[in-house]
Amino acid sequence: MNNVLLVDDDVELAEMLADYLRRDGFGVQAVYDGATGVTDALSGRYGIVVMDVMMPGMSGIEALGRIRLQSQIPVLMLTGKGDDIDRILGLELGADDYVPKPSSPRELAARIRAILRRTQTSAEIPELLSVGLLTMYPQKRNAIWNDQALELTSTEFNLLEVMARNAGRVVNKNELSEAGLGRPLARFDRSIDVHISSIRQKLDVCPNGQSYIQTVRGRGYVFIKD
Amino acid sequence: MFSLRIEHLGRLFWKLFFAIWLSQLTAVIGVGAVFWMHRYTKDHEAITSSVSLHGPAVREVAASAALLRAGGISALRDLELETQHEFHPPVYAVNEQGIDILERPLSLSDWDNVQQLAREGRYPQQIRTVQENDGHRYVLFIPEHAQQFDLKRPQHPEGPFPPDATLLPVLPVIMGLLSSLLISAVLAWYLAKPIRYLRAGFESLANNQFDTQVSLAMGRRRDELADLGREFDRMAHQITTLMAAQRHLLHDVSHELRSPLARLQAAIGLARQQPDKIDTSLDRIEREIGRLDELVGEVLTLSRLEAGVTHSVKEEFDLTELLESVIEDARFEASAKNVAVNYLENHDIQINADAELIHRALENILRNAVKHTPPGLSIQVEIDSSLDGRQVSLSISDQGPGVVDEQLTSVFEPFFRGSGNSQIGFGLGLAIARRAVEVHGGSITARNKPEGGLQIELILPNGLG
Repeated sequence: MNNVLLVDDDVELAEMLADYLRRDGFGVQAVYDGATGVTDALSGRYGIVVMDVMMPGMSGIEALGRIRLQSQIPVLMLTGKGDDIDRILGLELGADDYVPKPSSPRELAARIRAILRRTQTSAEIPELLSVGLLTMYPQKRNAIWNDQALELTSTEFNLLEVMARNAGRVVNKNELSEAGLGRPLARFDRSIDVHISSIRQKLDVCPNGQSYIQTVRGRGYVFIKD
Repeated sequence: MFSLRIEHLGRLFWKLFFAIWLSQLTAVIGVGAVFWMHRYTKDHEAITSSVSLHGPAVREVAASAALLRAGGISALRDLELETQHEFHPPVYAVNEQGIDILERPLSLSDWDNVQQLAREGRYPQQIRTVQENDGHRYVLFIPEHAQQFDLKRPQHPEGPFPPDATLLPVLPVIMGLLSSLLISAVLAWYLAKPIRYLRAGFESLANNQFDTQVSLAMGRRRDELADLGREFDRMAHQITTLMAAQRHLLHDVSHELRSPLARLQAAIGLARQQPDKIDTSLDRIEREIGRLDELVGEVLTLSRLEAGVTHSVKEEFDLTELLESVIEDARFEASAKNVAVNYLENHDIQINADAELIHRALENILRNAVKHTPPGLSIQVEIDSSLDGRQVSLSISDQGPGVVDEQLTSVFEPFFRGSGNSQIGFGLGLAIARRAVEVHGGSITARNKPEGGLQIELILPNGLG
């Protein structure tokens, strides 16, 4: 599914980006407001949504919230540089990654490709991964926790998968960023922490009250084996 | 609230405290000294004050002495008994043992005084000694405090003053000291407290805590210091509002700058990816740079107007003429859109104002109207001076979609955009117009016309004295 849904109120910009991405081999549809964006994102015709945060009417954050109510489709947010609040809020609401605006269309295309690559199944991926209460089916991209289905965004799924595969061992944030977001960790980048905190909330806590995902200060995270 | 931690009280408190205490102490000591001295001299006079020295007393005592000599004790006793209930000074006749003939009470000290005076031969008219036939010697006089003598109530045996009255009054002095200490502490605290609150207010304001409120801490106090607190709060509020507006503007500006930059990035990306279309991309890049330039210019104008740093040169000019030239320019733009600009010609209206700013304001309003009027429709411009000729009113109405009623004041906010026309301009035109009009002491309002369309009305004082 190489179809990209582009949601941005800046018509000219959206047209140019669509032009660029089409030439890069994506199927692109551009829409210019949040409400239409939500409807189209839920239509099942797209593999990824690229959405601007600042839009009049329904904002990108609100649209993301509405999409997440019904779908785990990968969402890439376009946020203003320095708008940390928007970025963190977007990640907390389940955005898979963000691209600062303005940035080059090449960067945008690379990010889209990285997310799509991670979400698309390939033959080498093992069928089943089981650690403690967690069972993951990487090919089908679903996960079960304590006999209950886990609702994860694709980025969360990737991060949990990396940690589960390395259960009991500390995985550093850069490894997680490469595996989960498809890019090296940038300086002052808190995206991984936000994603991890979101996963934590979806898992129960250990009998001793601790989280199954432990922070190792200055090094990374570790998934507790048992 | 009543914290008496010494280091919290501050220098001012101690200064006030010592000043007040010192003055109180001086006053207490002064009054005390006068009082004490007065009492001291009174004690010395007390010896004479035991005897009534008034004019009538001389007569009474002389008459009684004569009666005693002539009629003896019984005659005098009868007279005194008969007259004792009238308003009549009682004449005492006291023998050597200090016993009055009617055994009326007499304090020892008074008696001593009388005896001393009698011995010294002072006031012979008022104190007479009579040798009676029964061998007793009687001293006749009218006791001073017996002027309105009441037989039923015996006189204080010690007299009007305690025996140690001549000593320094230790207890009252200590009481005075303590109360002056207390009063000065309370007074100094009362005066210094609001100043401490004010200081704390300034301190937190300096630390960027803009929600500082001093008047709350001052409570229900009503004086100049409380007024100062309220003024402080008003100032803090003003600063907070200004800061918030500035921050908002900065945020909006950075966002607005970002959009053309993002388009520039995209255009450059496209140029790289599709070298065959490089001309279109370069055109776009040029256009975006033009937009950026325009935006920066408008932001600068607005911020200069907001800061009030205009090199405003006021001159007298014909507003009608200026309006007509703005309309001419707008007609050029409007005709491309097939929009008509209707204008009812009016007589010359002279005003004294900054022509450049007024030109800019009118141009922005008119261009805004052109932007929002659909092709084939028209814009109505009217100008008139008020009856007294002191004000000029100007209205520009379009036939566009208008704005929601709740947003009628927001249209003058920087970067405001009505729904669905995000591509037109930056939303700074009307904000600049408002500031330009306000700088001249005028007002600008927007309203939705009942038949549809937005009407912007300007009221400008003519500024001619």
